[in-house]
Amino acid sequence: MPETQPDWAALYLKHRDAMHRVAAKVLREAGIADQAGDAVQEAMMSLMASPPDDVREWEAVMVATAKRRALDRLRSAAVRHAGPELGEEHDHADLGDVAEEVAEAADRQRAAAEVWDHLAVLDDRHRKVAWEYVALERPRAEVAEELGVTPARVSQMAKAALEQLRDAMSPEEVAHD
Amino acid sequence: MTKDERDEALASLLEARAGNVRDKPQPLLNEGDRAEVESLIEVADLLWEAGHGAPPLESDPVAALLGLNPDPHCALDAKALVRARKNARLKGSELAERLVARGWEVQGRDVFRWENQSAADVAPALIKAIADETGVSVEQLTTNLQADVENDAVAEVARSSKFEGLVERWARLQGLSHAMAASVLESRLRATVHRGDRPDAGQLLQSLDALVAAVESGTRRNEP
Repeated sequence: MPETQPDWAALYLKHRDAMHRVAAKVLREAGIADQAGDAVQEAMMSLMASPPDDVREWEAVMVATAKRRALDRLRSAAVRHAGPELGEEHDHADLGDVAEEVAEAADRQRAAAEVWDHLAVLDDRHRKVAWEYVALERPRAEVAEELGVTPARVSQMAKAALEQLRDAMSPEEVAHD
Repeated sequence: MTKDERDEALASLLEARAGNVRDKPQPLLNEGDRAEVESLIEVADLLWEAGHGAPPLESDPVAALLGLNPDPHCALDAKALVRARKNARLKGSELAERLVARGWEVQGRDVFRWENQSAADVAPALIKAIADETGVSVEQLTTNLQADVENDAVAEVARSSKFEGLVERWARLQGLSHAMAASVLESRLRATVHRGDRPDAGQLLQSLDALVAAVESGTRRNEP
């Protein structure tokens, strides 16, 4: 390996969380967030096969590449679902300013970490609802059965948990789009 | 809108987010209720993102391929590390600084611990970086802490001649020793199985072959 090759393992270890989150967020739109790992793997393979030159900010490159691979998958899913004519919309998906993109991803990551930290304010049952039903999107009926309550009660518990989390967070982190 | 109706609106939106009732018409909300529900949905979205980061290292196939999972078959030898570091005329803190410059999050006290307490948690990729920085080969820095051969499907694949060929190609591509390349590729196979997939030996080898070939083709393209 040439000495100029980046230390991919070190870079991946540092940025893999952001790469997975970005890919999952993109793929969520089509209900295929579980393919985020594949998109990240494709991103890493393409980076390793053709390392970009003169990189100042590896996080930006890695996050943007993961996003691009996720968008490729999204487009493929759209083509499979609706035919080629609807698959074109993501051809022009603008990656935007990479720096801005990464700054936003970093902000979201910070906010997500904060909300995760605040799960500690919830009691066990509400924490389970918040994590399993809201964060991991397990079916409401399954979570309800495990807790011995009705699905409607799970919704009530989710709302109560989200209210507690919102109130525990700093106001700027709960910004509306 | 009553409290029950607001609760129902939020429940409906949460279900829609999960893709369970994507086609169901969403409730109409007045401005105040919409702001309330949207602030909760924003928290729900952040929580969702918190739940969709990278998987644990041991079940992350990319991490496995890059040698980020510690492997007792290819462990850092504490005495060899001391020798290599001193021969390179580096203090522990200086070695740590060099590793940090490559992107590793390492401190001088980590180097001290590897040399004096335990080095079992040092991943093959980090051993490779240490070898690069101290100017020795990976073989000179590693020891096999677990010589017994695991008798499972992955071990069976790892004993095949095709796997051996892939190890040679990966070692050449990544500048790794044969033992470390074997460790990394075997770890990659285990991550696939860890993730819940149950591919047969042929499929495992085929997917590894595709990964190695993808990196090879890019490397060839970049050669002058």
